[in-house]
Amino acid sequence: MPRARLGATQGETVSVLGIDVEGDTLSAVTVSQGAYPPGEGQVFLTVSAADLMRVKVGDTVTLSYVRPTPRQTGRAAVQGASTLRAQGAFVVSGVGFISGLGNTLFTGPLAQSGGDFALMQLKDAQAWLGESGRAERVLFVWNSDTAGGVDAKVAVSRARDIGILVRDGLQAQLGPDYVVDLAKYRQLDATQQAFVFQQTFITLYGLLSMGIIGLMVNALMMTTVTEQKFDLAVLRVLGAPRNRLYEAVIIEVIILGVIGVILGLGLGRLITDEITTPILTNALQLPVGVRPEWTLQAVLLPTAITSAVLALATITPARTAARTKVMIVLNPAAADQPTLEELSKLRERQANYGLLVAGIVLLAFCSLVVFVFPLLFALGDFSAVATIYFISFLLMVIGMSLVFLFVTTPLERVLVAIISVFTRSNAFFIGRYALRAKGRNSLISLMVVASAVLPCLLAAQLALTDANIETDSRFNRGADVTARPGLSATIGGVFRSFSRTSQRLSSENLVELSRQPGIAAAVGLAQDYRGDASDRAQVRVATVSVIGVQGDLTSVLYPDFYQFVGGDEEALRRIQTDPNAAIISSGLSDLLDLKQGDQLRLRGSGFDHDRIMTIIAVGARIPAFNTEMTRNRNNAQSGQTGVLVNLETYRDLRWDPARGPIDKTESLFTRILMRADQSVAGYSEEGLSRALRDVFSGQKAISIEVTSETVKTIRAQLEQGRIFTVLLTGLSMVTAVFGVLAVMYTAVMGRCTEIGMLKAIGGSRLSLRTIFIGEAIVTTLAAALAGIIAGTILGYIFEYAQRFSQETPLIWAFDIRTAGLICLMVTLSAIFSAALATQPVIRQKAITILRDR
Amino acid sequence: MVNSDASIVILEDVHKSFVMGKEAVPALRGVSLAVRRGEVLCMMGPSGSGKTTLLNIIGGLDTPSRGHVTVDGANVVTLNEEKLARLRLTRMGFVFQNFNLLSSFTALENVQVPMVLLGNNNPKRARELLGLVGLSDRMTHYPSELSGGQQQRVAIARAMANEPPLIIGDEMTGDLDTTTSFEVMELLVKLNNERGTTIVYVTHDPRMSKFAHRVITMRDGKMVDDGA
Repeated sequence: MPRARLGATQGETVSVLGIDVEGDTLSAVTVSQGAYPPGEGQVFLTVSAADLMRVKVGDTVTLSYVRPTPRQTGRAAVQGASTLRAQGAFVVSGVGFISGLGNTLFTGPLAQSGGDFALMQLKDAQAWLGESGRAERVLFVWNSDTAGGVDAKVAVSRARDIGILVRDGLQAQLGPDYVVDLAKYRQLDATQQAFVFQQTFITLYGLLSMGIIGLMVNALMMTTVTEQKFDLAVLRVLGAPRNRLYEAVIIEVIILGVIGVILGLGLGRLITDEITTPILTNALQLPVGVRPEWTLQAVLLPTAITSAVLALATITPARTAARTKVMIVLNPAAADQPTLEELSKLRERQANYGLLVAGIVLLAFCSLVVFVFPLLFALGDFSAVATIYFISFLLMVIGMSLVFLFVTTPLERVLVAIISVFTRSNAFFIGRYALRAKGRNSLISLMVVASAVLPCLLAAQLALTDANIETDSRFNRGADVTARPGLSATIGGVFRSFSRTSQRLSSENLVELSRQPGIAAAVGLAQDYRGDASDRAQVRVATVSVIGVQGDLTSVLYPDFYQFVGGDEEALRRIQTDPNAAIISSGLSDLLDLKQGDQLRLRGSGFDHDRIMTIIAVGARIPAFNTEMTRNRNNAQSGQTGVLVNLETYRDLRWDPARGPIDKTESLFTRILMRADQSVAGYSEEGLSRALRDVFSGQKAISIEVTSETVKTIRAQLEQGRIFTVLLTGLSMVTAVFGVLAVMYTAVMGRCTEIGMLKAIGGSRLSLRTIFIGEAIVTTLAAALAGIIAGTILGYIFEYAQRFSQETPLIWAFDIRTAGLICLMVTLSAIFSAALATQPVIRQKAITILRDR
Repeated sequence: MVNSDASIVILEDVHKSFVMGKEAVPALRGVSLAVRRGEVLCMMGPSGSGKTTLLNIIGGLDTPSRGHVTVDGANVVTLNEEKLARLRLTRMGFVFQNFNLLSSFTALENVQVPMVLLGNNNPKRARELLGLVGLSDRMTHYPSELSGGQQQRVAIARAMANEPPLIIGDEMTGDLDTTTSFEVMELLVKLNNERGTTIVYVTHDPRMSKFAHRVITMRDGKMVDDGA
């Protein structure tokens, strides 16, 4: 069902959108001045467009549009033909911000002028362009009942079927010019894997959190069972069977579990609907009304995970309850002593379950590597691959947590030593309590370490990415500005569109670019010929990417990344004049066993077309050639390495002699590297980028990439990642905080007699509270630090491994924000938990505590 | 009128009632008592006679419902919780029936606890005290590694840690066998002889009362025999 009809076109300075304002329910317009929608003969401008044209409400603007040269389908347009120009004057009705439909439309290939839009009524646009009664696009909104669903694959297939029906209908009525573009579903299809990956990640993160909850439940239930030991023993004396006691614990947890699941699902739904969805709708500019579906799967999965975790967490307390001895009633002092039967059992040789579990884990790990991964990859089930990948990842996080649990004790000692500098008496107690309460504090440590590892891993990776953005961008791009053929760019036409056929830039482009104000130097690179490189005897052969160079590379490349195994950057200058010189990568040098000064045979296109080149340098690392110039021998073996040669040599190599004389006018450049001239008066990166795009991005279809802009874009994207990490940290630590609270509570309950005794011999409330808070801080903070170290090391290993294989330099960095947040949260939770747990006991009289126990 | 210089503990018409449900149950009904410095006083009586309640009031662990209590010159009734704690820390030592040692602390560290709470940790003195109670070779043992008698010796050493003029013992030998009970009592008498420490203790065992200079008998919240 059509909701809006609109037409769009590309002006020289602003993008103009003709829209059926009556039918448009998809655009969201915020009016800063004047009015929206524009009336007849009026335009509504975005704030940036109004600023650009320096106009205000009530001013008249003249919009001029050069229509593209008509051409026959499948043929290039006639060169030098005259063009038609549409011109019209419009009064500015208002100025504001546009999101939703208008914004979406102009973030595609037509978005040449960023956020500079002018909106007018569709009939005005039709009159202005002389295309009465026609529109460029008709937008459809699916009925969500038929196109909704959580299975992206199914949704895409269904949308494709509907799209084909719509296209056929349109073409039958309006002619073949109309095609159907299912942009959303194309994107959904493309991002499906990422979505599945993320979904699996979140599910497994939930599992990790539930594991921590499981530890907490286990601790609480063990405390409950211990506290009720006497009552349970009385029940045993009265004849209650063991399984009745077992059931009692299980039923208690089931009731709590059911209440928890219902509350959790309700709260989760409330948070999703009232907080997450509005935030995402706003941030991602989604149409209002988009809501996640409440499916059976969404309910069953968390319920199943929770049930499994609770069941596992309750087994030990239930078994402990079932094993309650009647002796506790008869003679409590003797109850804890091992009986003769128990002692005799200790002497029996029994199966070692620890070894069994270790064996199963080892076996599972080997099976994953040897059988499961290859099988899943062969089957191509991405969900299963993602699940197994994240299970491995989760196991690694847990493994790392367990390994770094080891570090908590020395860290606790350090913290106690620091505390003793300030208060020796409290440090005396804190140190002993923290370091000697094995079971309890190990549980806290494990929860906190496990909670801290994952956020710190992500934070470390983000920090490293952030710290290396500039280096990476400079290294990958190699120069201040890069021009490439606009391969994917569609040149905007109102009712026609065509893709640029040329995929290369010409020498004229190079000259023109080098003459632009703000450009100090430009070098052309041609890189779409692959040939064999070998020693002269062709004993060792490798396929290489031949790179033709026109110009002095040292005049444009960032100089701080060069690394040569043989020769130096002088070779980069020499290459432009020496047709027989070649620069090869260190990996290729190893593979072919050739070094600087040796001869290299390069195979050209066609038969008997070889050139013998002299290797003038061996590059280990050259900016802008991060894949082609590395030490990586595998790169060379797999044909990813490159050989830098003179452009004329390149032209000769790629030209098959059988075709006759070389066409020296052929456009060859696949990219042009430029150095910005920052000494030009009024130089700015934004100004240079805008000026270059104004000249080259339109009809010339040359894409301009400014390295500093890329850095800013990636930084902005990283900021989103950071927000995710902070959220993840918050969520992880909330779980840990509750865990610490539960364990501290159980710890205090189990130590009431000690508290009573300390009070009896003269311990003040303040000193007792300080001791318990100190113990909690030492335990949790040491664990948090261990988790931070573990996560950070893991993040570093990941990042370093990735960069090692890519041969990219790495600047080390540490995310103090996440680490600080974790430390702050655990410290506060320790203070809060210990204070809350001890308060009811400490405020009692010593005699009351001792009498009650 | 009782001489407050000669008496370390003075109780005058002390009453104490506990609320059980909606009823107030009297535990002490007008007890007056003076304990002289350097005296070893034993309190006896059947269960529910009020001897432990009286001991707790002397030790500042509980407060009387009515009456006056003075310990080493301090009016216990008027002191708040924190000042009572300070009084116990500096002027009294406690020995409990079930020892009440800190399980994650060694014998030596348990003796250090009162010193540390007072901000006057002295490991050398703690070692001397453990030597005095015959546990020089058990200093690094945890309570779980010690016998009941040894644990009670540690508790006595801990009670002596801050050199208090008064030691209070509640059924100190209740969990010990006869031989060990005698050893513990002999140790306390030795401390009394050597250091002049006043000892007030409660026991059910008539054999343990023989170590006292004076034995008072309680019944139904009243002192029926002041042992004078």
